[in-house]
Amino acid sequence: MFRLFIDYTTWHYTHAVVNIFKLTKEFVRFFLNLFSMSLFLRTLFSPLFSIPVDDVGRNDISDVIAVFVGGVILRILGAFFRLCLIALGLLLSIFTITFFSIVFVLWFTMPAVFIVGVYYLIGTIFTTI
Amino acid sequence: MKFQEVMNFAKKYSSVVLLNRILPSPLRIFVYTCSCIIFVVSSLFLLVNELYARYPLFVARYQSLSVVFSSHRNEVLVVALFSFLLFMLIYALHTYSRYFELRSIERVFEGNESRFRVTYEAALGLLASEKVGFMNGLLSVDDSRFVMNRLLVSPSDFKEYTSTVIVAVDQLVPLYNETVTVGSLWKVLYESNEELRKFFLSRKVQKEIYFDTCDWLDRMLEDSKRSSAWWWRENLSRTRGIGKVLSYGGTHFMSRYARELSASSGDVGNVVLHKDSVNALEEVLTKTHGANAVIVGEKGTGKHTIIQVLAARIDRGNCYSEIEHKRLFEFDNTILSSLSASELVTVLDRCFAEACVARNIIFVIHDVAAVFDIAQKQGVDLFQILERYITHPDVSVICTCEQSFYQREVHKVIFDKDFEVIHVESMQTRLLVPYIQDYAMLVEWQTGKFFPSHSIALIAAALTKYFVEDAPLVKAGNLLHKIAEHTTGDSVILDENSVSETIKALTGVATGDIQGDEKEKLLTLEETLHNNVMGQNEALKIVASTMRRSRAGLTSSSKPIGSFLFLGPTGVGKTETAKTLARVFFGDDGAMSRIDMNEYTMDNSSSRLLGNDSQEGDIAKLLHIRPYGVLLLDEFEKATSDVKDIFLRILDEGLFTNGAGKIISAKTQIVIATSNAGSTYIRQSGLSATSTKEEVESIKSKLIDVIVSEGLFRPELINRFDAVVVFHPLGDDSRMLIARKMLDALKERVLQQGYEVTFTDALVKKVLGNEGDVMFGGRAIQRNIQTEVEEAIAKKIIEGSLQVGGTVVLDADDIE
Repeated sequence: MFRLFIDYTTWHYTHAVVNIFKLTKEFVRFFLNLFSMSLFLRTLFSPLFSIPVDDVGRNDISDVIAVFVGGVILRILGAFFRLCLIALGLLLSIFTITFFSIVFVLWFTMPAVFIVGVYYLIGTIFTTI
Repeated sequence: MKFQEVMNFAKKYSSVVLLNRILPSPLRIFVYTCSCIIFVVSSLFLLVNELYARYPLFVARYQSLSVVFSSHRNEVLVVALFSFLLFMLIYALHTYSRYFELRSIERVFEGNESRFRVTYEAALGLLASEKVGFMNGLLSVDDSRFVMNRLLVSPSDFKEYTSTVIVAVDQLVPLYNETVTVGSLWKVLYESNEELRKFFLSRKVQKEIYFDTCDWLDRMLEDSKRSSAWWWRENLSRTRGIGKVLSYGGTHFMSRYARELSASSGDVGNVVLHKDSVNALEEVLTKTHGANAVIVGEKGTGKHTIIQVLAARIDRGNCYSEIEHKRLFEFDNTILSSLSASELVTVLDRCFAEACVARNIIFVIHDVAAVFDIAQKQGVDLFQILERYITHPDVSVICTCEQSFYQREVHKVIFDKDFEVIHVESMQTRLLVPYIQDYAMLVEWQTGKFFPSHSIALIAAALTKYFVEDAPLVKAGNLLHKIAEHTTGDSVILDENSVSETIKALTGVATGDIQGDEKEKLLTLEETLHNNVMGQNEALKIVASTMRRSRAGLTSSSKPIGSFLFLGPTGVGKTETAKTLARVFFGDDGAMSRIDMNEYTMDNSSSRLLGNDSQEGDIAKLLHIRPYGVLLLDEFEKATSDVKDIFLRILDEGLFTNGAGKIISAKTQIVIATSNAGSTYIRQSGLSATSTKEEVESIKSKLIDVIVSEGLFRPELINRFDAVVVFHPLGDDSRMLIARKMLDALKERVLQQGYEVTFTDALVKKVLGNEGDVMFGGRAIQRNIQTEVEEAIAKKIIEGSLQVGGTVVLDADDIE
């Protein structure tokens, strides 16, 4: 039993802590992948949904202008949507890091919280009696 | 590695093992749930109490409750605190336990190569073995029951056995596995203990079956752990990024003519078949230009599975980053075949154009030969269309085809220049076993039946030998379902008998244990053959014993069921023996395919036999019509040497490659070649029914020398037959018996017409013919009966001297 206590405590402050960091990394990676951050940054100004705008006729100046304007609008729209998603992805990543930081603090203090809790519990029991 | 090292490693788990013993998983979950519920309820109580204290209006409305809460506040606080602490404790201990349970496989995934790893379950067994001995230690692990159950070994039998043989750790052979699992420990035990091997062999558990079961357990444990660890990268990354929708174009048009392949679109299980081919395909697709592949392999080699595995890898993000955003679309050949020429061109053009815009599409054309034919019938050149798009940097195409089509079209520029070729080898029995095991568990779940490991091994062997037409993974699934459906009644265990009965019902070929009628049939095979073939005792003995050896599994499983070279003069029973074998082993005389080899004496004979691109060869046609039966090669010596050489491979591997490059199996045949070669020598040698075994062997040996020296057969061809059987010329007694048997058959036929005929002994002697007829054996007797006796009966019927219900005695004088 004593061995279990020692082994657990060692694990709690070594492997488990490393695992929390790993888990944070995996979840941040998950959100970055979910919101395709690298892909969005690479294709930030590509037309939205890859809608083709270049293959319409170019018979006169008005067609060229229409293609240009259409392309610019789709690219601006694409960039807007992508920036929104990048922002959302970053927000979730920051939230993940914050969440796991709290988890880390809680985990680190958990044995102390437990001991204090037991102390308080015993105190409350005696008070009630 | 030494066993003691493993033991020391296992001791790192001792605390977790102790924890799990004190607090087993069900108890842990129960306490966990209870403490959670109690904590939530008591917290709510405290919250309500707080509300009473702070808000008088609230108190006024629920006055009675307020009294109850305030009077028990401290007790509730104790309960809340206690449940919270309990929850915290159990959570921490549960995390601790799970960490160690997943540790060994997590390391494999993370790629941190350590010298070796020990799984939690293996450590359980090893730690227990310190007190109760290695075998009992392993038996104490719950998961070991899986091995015992699959091997149909009852725990009571095994426990009785283990009480006599307890293996000490230092007696064990060294471990070779990098990961020490329960399965690997069971394997070590098997290797270390002669007694144990005997114990399992006495229960028909061969080494392969035993080892496959151990691997099955390990795979099952690892899979279940991997899928339960949802927070691991491999599970989290299964979600497709939403950016792939925004950054790449839509697939609205192509979705009507092609289906998207994903991890869930095909059941490829967790077994990676053709791993090298999948890797090769993945590498081809990462190329910036010409990322197209053609997968070439025979039907049933798992070409489509390779694509499905790749689709699953891409879907799960477990692939090269260059292709992680790609989507695979497989053309629906049924829809394509229903289109007119102009529609087909439009559809293909629009699909490819859409793919060029989408920039992340990989088209799959499964069985490109079929699509090619569909297009050709409409007058459309498929490759001309493909050629326009395959050089596009954002479009890739994967085609699958058989060797024959590849050979036919390989010279087309399109395939040479723009497609990487991936050749797929045929599916081996060993590769199929894990897949069948995984699929069997699915069928078990659906039907409530149970497949022991013996059955799995038999199914895997049967699939590669007897079911040669369909794709192996498809046929494996179908066969497992059929076995489960075919076995009715209370039997939950689908043992070898259930499997062999289903295989027999489907193919007519007996497999598995030899029991009941079949045992009787094999033991009395000589007698059955004797009843049909007269006076060839020694020859029939050889045939019967060869067939028994084949059925008992003592001959190579890659060869045909049996192969014989029957040598002897005409009319001595060679063909009759073949017919009898067809009747005994496949149910009727009709199960015999006959090829007159004297039709293959021209220079182009081999191509006629094997066929070409546009026409199926004669041998393939016969095997298609009758995939299971006797293949009789009559007058084998007359075929050209090229034709005979084709049979070298058939007799050796049970396979041949037809003119179109397709590999065809003849493993489900009894191949019998008959020949009159050396008949003169046989007559001169004085071989007869009274010859002793030694005399027969001596004459056979000299006869083989004679036919080899005459250049009729090459020695390597003769050696490839399971047995060379020499039929001697028929003696008078045998000929009399044959004549009597043939006349009895005639009598029976006539009786069915309503006439009764009796034949005198003098007539029987007369139908034997003159001395010249002796060399034609039974054929001469048959001819005499047809021309003389049948003629005499026919005359009597026509004259009216023999009327329906009448009787006549035919004597020698009645025939000419």
